[in-house]
Amino acid sequence: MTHDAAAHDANRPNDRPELFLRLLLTNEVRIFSYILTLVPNYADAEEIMQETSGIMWRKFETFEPGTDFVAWAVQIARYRILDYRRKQYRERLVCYDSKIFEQMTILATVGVGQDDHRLEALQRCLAKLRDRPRRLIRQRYYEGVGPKEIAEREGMSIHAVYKSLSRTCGQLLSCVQRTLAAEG
Amino acid sequence: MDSASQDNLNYLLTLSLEGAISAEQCDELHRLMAESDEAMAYCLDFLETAACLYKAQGRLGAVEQDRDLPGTPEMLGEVIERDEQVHAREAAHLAEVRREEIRRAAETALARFREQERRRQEELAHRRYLAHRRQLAVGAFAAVVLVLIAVSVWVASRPPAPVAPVAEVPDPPAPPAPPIVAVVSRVSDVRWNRLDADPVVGTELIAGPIALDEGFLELTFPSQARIIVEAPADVNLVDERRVRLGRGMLTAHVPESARGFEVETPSARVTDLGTEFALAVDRRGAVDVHVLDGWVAASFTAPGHDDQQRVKALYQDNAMRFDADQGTMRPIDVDGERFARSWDDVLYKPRVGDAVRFEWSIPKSLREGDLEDDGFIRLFLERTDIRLGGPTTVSLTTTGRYTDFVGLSSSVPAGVRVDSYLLHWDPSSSAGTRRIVSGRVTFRRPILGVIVTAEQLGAGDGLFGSSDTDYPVKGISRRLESASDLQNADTVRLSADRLTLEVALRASSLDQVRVLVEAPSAQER
Repeated sequence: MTHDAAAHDANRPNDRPELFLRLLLTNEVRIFSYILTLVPNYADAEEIMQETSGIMWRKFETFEPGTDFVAWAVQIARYRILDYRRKQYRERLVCYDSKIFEQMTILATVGVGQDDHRLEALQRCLAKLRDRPRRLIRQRYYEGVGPKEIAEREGMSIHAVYKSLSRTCGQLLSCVQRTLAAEG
Repeated sequence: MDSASQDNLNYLLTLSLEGAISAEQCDELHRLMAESDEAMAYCLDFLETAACLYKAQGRLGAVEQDRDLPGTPEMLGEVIERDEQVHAREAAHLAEVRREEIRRAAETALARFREQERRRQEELAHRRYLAHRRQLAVGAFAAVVLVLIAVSVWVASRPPAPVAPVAEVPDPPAPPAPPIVAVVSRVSDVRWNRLDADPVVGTELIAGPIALDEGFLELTFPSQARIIVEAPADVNLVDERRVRLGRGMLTAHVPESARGFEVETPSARVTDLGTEFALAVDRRGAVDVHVLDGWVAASFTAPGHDDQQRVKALYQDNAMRFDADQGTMRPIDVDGERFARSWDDVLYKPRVGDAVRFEWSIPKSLREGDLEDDGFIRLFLERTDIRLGGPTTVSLTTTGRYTDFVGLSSSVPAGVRVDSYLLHWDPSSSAGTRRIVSGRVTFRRPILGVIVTAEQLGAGDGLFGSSDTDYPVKGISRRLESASDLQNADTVRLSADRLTLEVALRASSLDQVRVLVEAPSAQER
């Protein structure tokens, strides 16, 4: 969307929910990626994403159309993540220590603005998977089936499911990196 | 970084993502990340890839196709290397196509929202027009009647005109078949008014209204959004991503792939943002919106509110009542229990009242003293779809009020399929105080038998009880006491329609009642 178009939409009150939805849907993966990098747990990251989306909606009037929506969203997400860490710290559940968290924050903040073609590359790499790992990926990420249930369905131990998912994600990462490198 | 280190990081990060990492493994992950910048950058890339997989579900189509790839090498490496050159050329093109797709999808969504707003404005204008027309109609009515009388007298006095032959007109081309907007995915005792389709699983539905007079209906949309509608309800299927609820109760389960799914009601338009929500529309058109998971955007349809006031974001465990008639919207207590959130709720969750509380999870022990509670009678679903191999002795099968349980015996015939429920009340035994509670439970299918004596309860534990639960081994305290025991006398009433069981229990120790209910049919399940 052009800046002019966004500004035009935003000046019409009835279009603001639609504009928000459009920006959120288009950039959701990037925002979630930032959160998951700093909170490496799907359930917690999802909860923070929900909270962040809610706050973004409530504060959407402060967003200036034409500016960087992702950067604005990440600012909000960061406060939610810090809150989450404070809560986790009280309950002695923090996984990243402070030093690693700070370093990851810098890396994630730099990375979130980069316009890579990770999704397109990932799609092509997924198509190259063999049947079994593809089946596991489909169940886990498309159907939302938990590792325990996948283990029951596939007749595997839950340990084997974790191993298989981790190996496949690693292979997909290598494939994505090679694809992006080849694209220059 | 060697591949073994990468494998180790992959595994630890996966455990972390799935919430299965131990404190020791977390320490190891720290150590590896702190050891080198390369390891940390690798973790970042891994997590970004995981985020894409987790969030981009509906946007990555390839993995959905089950392809047979005989001869694919065990490891991806070689194949990927060979393909890189080819794909590098395709990548730029694909990326451009993808961006164009996103742009088009966004424009379509925007156009749809604008169209909805335009229709809403038109509807408001139409309502105002109707109100104005009603005022004029009274005055015009007398004049119209006079004109009609005059015309009819004039027509009756004229000779009939000759009828001209009608020329043959070729049939117009058949219009295209209307699109399917939803499929009936589950039904239970449904009676509806649709003439174009029967309420059976697999029926494809085109746009149009459904007046659901009886039962529960689950519809699945192409986007995988699912709604469960409870009769009585008026639902209008507008298109694949939009329904109108004019009256009744509805629960919507909307996966990521169906974000933006909308339910319009007379008082509010609810746009889903990846969630589960429930709506109840009353006769006046006021709607209660309960967000059970995730969040929604709800647009109040009453006039006189600017955009800031009109659109509300509602979050999980929040609820709001919108009343366009009165022009009010206010927060209310969220109440997921009112609604059928899953098909299991439809089939097995009874309505309970007063002191009875239904719980899905049955505890490990229902022996005396293991689950004490002074205030509530707990109700558990013990087992489902039990086929009775022979006539089964129970305490009572006929309707009425019971206060004397000594020697009470009846029978449920062989071959019947039942679901078994257990009412359990175990007041605390402190100081031997006698307590009194009462409550009722209403099932959707008939009660076929009720068991209240210690012998019959004990005999039925094997067949009807949960295999994971310990039941009282001996002792008569679990039985209901008759009126002759004045201090502990209990009462049971089975309603005339056999759907409701009322109990009034008076005890200082355990009371249990087993209820055998007709099991749902295979089609319903």
